Formats: sequence, C-alpha cells, structure tokens
Amino acid sequence: MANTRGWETRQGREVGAVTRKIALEVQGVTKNFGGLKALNDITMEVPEGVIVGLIGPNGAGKTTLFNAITGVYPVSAGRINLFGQDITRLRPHNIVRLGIARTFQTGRPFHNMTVLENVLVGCYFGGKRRISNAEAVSRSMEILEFVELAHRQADPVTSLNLLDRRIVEMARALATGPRLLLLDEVLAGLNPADLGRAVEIIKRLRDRLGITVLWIEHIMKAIMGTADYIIVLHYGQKLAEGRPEEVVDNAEVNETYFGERGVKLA
Amino acid sequence: MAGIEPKKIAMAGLALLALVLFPLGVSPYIKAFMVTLLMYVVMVQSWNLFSGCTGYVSLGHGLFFGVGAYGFAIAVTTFKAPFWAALLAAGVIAGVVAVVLGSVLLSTKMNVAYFSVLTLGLNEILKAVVANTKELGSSYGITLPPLTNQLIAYYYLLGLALIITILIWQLKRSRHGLALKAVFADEVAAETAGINTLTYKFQTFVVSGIFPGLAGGMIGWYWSYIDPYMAFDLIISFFIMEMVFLGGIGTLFGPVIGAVFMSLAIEILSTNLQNIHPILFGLAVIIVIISCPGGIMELFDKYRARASRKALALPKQEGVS
Repeated sequence: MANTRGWETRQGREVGAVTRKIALEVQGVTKNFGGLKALNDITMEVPEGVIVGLIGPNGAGKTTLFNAITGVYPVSAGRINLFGQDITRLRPHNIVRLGIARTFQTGRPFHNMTVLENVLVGCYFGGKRRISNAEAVSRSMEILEFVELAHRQADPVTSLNLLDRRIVEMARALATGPRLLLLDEVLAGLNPADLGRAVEIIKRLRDRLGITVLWIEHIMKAIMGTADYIIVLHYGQKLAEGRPEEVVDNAEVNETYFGERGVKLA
Repeated sequence: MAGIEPKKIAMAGLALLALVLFPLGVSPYIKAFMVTLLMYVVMVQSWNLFSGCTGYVSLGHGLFFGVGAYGFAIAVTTFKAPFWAALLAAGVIAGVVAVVLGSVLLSTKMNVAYFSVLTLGLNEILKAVVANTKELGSSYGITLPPLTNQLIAYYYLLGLALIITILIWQLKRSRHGLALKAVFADEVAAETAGINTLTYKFQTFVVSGIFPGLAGGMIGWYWSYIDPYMAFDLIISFFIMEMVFLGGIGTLFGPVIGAVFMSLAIEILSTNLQNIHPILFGLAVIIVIISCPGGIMELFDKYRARASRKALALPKQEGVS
C-alpha cells in the first residue's frame, strides 16, 4: 500500500499549515525500576487529531511509557502535560476523567461482565460528569454500534474471539470520552482479515471522532500505513521520530530494529 | 430499572412470614440452632459483601465479630450501658476498627495476597492483645448478664441478615456494584476506566466490618460469657469461607445456602464424628472448588438453564464455557 501523504494532509489540510494544538507533552520523563532505567529522559509531543505510532524493539519502554502517562506507574522524574495541564502526579482514575483512555497489551476487558457492562463501566466512571442509567445505556449502545459490536452486547466477554475482546476494550476506553486514546498492541495475534477490520476502526476514531491516538504496534505494515507520525523508542530513549517514510529511511532505526543485515523497515 | 415480578414479592413475603413465625412453635434446642445459623448468615453475607464482591479474600473476617463481642461486653460491664446502646457500641467499634484496618490494608501498595495474610495475622494479634489486657478480662474472659429470651437474639440476627442481604441485592443492581465487579476482574483496568478503586473498596470494607460487629455483640450477650479464644476463634473465619465457597461466592443467596447446609452438617457431625468434622468440611470445600467452583448456586443455575432449554426445546449448547 503506497503511502505518500504526510500527516498534515490526511485531514485535508495544507502541508505546512501545522497549527495543531499539542495534545500530549512528555517532558524529560524518566522511570527507574531499581537500577534499571526503563524510561530515560524521554521528551516528545503528540499533536491533536492525528495517529502517532510508537514503535521500538521489545523492552524499549513503550508500555512503561503508557503506564507513566496513565498514572499506573508514578514517574521518577519529568513532567507530563495533557493539553497544557500537568497530569504527572495524578491517579489513573483522575487522568481518565481528564481525557486519556487506554487499552492493555494483553487484552484486559472485564471477564466477569457482558459486552455492554464493560462499556457501561467506562460511561459511568470515566466521564467528567455523572450520567443517568438510561443515558449511559444509550451512549454505550452508540459506541458499540460505532465499533460494530452492538449485536453482541448481551454476550459475556468470555464468549468473544480475540479481536472482539480487543474491540470491547477499545469501546470501554471510548466510553470514557477520551481526547487521547492509547492503544497498546491491539493488532497482536490477529489474522489478516481481522487486522484490516481493526485498522479501519482505528482510522475511524481519528477521522470521524477526531480522537488523537498514540498507538504501540509491532506490525509494521499496519502502523506505517496508518500512522501520521512515528516515534521510535530504544532502551528507554527516543531514538528517532518523523513521518513514517522518514523513519523507514532512517539508517539508525533500521540498524537497531533489524540488526545490520540490511533488512529495511516496512 | 426493571420492576420486580409480583410472584417474587409474594414468595419473599411468605418466606419472611415463615421466618418470623418459625421460632414461636419450636423447642429451645432448635431455637439455639437457628440463632447460630443466623449468626453465620450475617457473617457470610458480610464476608460476601466485601471479599466475595472484590476478590480480596479476608482470612480473618471473624476479627470483627470478636471486636463486636468485646465492645458489647465492655460497654455493659465497665460502662454499665443499656443493652441496646451496647449493641450499637459493638457496631460502632467494629466500624472504627474497619476504618483503621481499611486505610492500611487497602492502600495502593497492598495487593490481594498481602491483604489475606494480614487479615489472618490481625485476628491472632487481637486475640493475643485481648488475652493479655487486664481491662479486657485477659484470658479469663468476661461474664455477662444472661440473655433470658432466645427470641431477642433470633429476631435481632434475622433483622441483620435481612438488611445485609437486601444491601447486597441492591448493590448488585447499582453502579457501585459494577465498580466492585470491575475491581474483582482487574484492578488496574478498573482504575484506568475511571473507577476510584481505593474509595470503593474502602467504603465496602467498612460496611462489611460493621455487620459482624453488630452480630458479635448479640452473640456475646447470648453466650453470656466471652473469652478471647471464643470471640477470636479462627474457626469462625474459616467456617465463613467454607460456607461461601460451598454455596457460591459472589452470589446473593449462595452463601446463605452454604450457611444452612454447613450449620446443619456441623450440628449433626459434631456430635457423631467429633473432631473429624472439620476435616470433612475441608475436604468438601476442596471437592467443590475443583469440581464446581461456583458452588451450589452453579449447580442450581446449570439445572435451571437445562430445564429452560428443555422447555423451549432448544438444542444443547456446545463449546461455550
């Protein structure tokens, strides 16, 4: 799939007219686990309304960065801003209410609930204000329609396949009304047909809901073809960033990612 | 919210009437059995409320029972409080202990395993502290004025059992209940979905500590004598868990069924197979957990699902766990 457009133009804006607000600002974030620096002075920005891919070899610190942003792990140093507001020391449930939702690497929907109940949790607890039961149900159903899972609303999550479980998790995240959505390897383990469906949903989040997406993925074809911008982590540090085609051509990235055998990224 | 069927209301009303009238025509022996049974119902439901709904297994839930019993005894003997006030004091003291323990045991640094071990240890610590405190009667215990009418204990405990069962029933229909269900499944995911897990756990823990306290106060009076080894007997905590697992953890009536079942078994076996019956209970729980983790309620649900499939002539479900 040829992808020559830059992230400014995906939304029909002119190249160069980059007056987007910064959704997420990570400033010098460091996370130590004992002697291990899982994140070492990371500084990055995620502009509003785009899909930013976060890639890097295993152990690069991608998921740790997500945990730092969402407040699951308190950071050792640095600062994290969401639309200019400092969220560094907040607890996860407060951060969600300010507009960051996430999914988990291993897929963690609530296994003891139905599909609808999972989404309801997001509606009830993740929003800024308290909503009525009727409103929560209708909103949840809207979200399930959006991700094309409304027909399974009454089913227990345990009866779903891998893709649908991931989508439930995404729907639960969407139900919190996020401005920024963190997706952690939502494509891992999916077959090619499901892969396409999942990518379509992620694109629709940006194009129809205007949600900013920060997305960790190992499936290069999918993320290079979808993301507007790519950030590469390696050993807890930012190695490179740029448009997908720039990152693909970056010799340093290719070397650390694939070794020196000359295989090129994507 | 969906309305409740009139048939169910009628059934609940009849059951309540039967429970109210039941002790009027039976022997003191049966009344005594019923008091013990109702004590266990209050205990299992209070365990079910917190541990059953959140997955934080308390191995020493009986400590609140002991605290209640001692709170009552001290209020009556040292402070000469009237009985109703002493019962209230039992609940309040158990609540205060729950607030203190909850704020320590349910902090962000604690996980389920620590919680379990610490509750177990705390029960033993309290037992030792009471046994070594002169003002609390040390290990000689405290003698109380006797409770002359068994019916007082019966109706009091029946009331508590009803209140906590209704509480759990309402909880399960509320968003508070949904939050606890999320905590049970995955605490980090619950937190990142916007649930303030600490607050929900804490509130539930405190309420679940007050009920055993209220029951413990009454039972102390009913026994008319308490010592640390009775009030903080670990077997109470263990029986509670066995009853819950036997009946069905996290369900509304499972623990009650488990309590009835095991109280009967205790009554029968403890006279015929003295000292062996706890072994049998342990075995029974192991068998239940291996073969039917949902307890008696799971069997019941399976049976009902099969019956309704038969009634609708639907094909047998396959491959769905």
